[in-house]
Amino acid sequence: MDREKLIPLEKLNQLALTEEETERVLAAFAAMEAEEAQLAETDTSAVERMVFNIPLKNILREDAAEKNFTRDQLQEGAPEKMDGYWQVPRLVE
Amino acid sequence: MNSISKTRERLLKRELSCAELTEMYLAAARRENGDLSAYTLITDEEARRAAAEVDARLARGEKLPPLAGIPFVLKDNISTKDIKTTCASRMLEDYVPIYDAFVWSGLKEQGAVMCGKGNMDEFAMGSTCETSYFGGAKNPHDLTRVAGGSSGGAASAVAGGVAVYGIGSDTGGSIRQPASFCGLVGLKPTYGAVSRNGLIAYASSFDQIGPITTCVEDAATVFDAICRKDPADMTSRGAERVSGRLHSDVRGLRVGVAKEFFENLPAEIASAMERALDFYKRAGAELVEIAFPMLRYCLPVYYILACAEASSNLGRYDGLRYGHRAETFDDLDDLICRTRSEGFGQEVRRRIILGTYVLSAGYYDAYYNKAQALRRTIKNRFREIFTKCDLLLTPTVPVTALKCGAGLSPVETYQTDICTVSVNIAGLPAVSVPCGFDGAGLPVGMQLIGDKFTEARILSAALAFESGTGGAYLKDSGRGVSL
Repeated sequence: MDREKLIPLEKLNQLALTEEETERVLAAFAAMEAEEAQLAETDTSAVERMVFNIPLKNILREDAAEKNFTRDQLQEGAPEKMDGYWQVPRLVE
Repeated sequence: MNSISKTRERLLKRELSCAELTEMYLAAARRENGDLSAYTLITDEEARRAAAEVDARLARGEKLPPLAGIPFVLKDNISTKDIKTTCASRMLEDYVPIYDAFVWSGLKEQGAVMCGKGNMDEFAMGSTCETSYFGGAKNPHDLTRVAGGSSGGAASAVAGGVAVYGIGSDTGGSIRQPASFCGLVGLKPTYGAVSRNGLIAYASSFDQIGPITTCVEDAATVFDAICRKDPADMTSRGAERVSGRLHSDVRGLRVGVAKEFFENLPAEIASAMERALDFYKRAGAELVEIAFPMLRYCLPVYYILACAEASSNLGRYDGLRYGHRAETFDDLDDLICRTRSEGFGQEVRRRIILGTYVLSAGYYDAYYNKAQALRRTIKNRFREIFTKCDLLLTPTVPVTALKCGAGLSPVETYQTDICTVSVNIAGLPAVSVPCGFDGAGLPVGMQLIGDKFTEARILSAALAFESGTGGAYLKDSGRGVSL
């Protein structure tokens, strides 16, 4: 990992790191790359990967209309809103 | 420090009203919070509302649930309707949920009195509470030391006598580690025992809510109050109640000891562990040597998977619908970028970037897939271990409470989680119990790890130690409310 490779990751995450922070993140990558080398020592070719600890079953609610929250409730925390919509910067000129 | 049973007794005997008790805790919380930073918010109004309700129920002669009227602290990543829930982050500094977490809703129904929201590492990412946007919680036993993390505020409040018990969350040790640092009991339940509905997600396949208390009996009482199955959480299973099943008889109990957990321990922690093992042996338990060579892989596996899940979970914070929004920006992309860069602290930004990297094409197999395969290997090893012993005894943390601002690198800080993360990787229950002090008088904790859904067994073993040692390792900070 180097500065150049870090830029697309910043863009992908929509984050801008400071100069000082970039150094610290690169140090964290160096540590993680060392760990990856350690993990690579193990043979897991026959092991099925595990995402969750317990078997998951998708839960579906009853197919009936519900009204849990009002529009006003959902927009209580909106940084900006207008006429019942969330307001964001103009996308199309 | 006051226990739940002692506090309840005072209420039921009508020696003081719930309103009086609550005012004592609110006043103490205000007085101590300048030193402790245990609370991000003191919830006077909610506490008084609940207290009045409990007093009315008492006046009607109603039978009260075990936690009714007992003042407590709720970690600030658990959603509370109409009450700010900040995750100790600038991103959610003014966020007010429009629904209650399942756990909080249940506690409210039972008459629990929430005195405030507990400080924490930002989005639960940290081991010292120092990544909190509001400044870290301090250790009531020594204000120059951290309370631990990430549930540091809950631990600080309970050890500081400004809450009778706390509710925290544990993703890699965030209940057990601060409990150990503050001389408390911290229970990380089996994954699925407690609903995560309304818990603001860090790493969803690891996160679990649990109690931080002054004694084992209290941990059992709180666990029983929160271990209900929740149809809205697909990972929720609920669990059997434990309070009536606890005992102190460890004769014949097979206590596993894996030497890997005991390597490179400071002398004072090593001798505390030896004394604990000796206690169990003298009490009739059988010590069984166990090998756990994959301990060295646990930290990398945990951090790869937790960061991957965090990068996905925290993608939702964009400043559009709720939470922090940057004041100045050029366009939509710039708005989101500035919002996320301003709203998240350094540790959170670092984990998001690392998590995205391990999920990206070209690195996915080497990191994410590999870690998931090792996760199964670790879980399988635990399964084998629990055919040979009934529980594992380990230190909780290989150090005592760190100095505030110790300036450890992230990697050095991660090392403090070495004994706790394997439990979350495998989804097991574990409890941290005070078992000694270092030369400076700081608490040392031991961890008892059990097979899934064996909370009653590990808490019984913990109770045996606590009562068998006559509470020698409980330490009052001399702060807060004394009943």
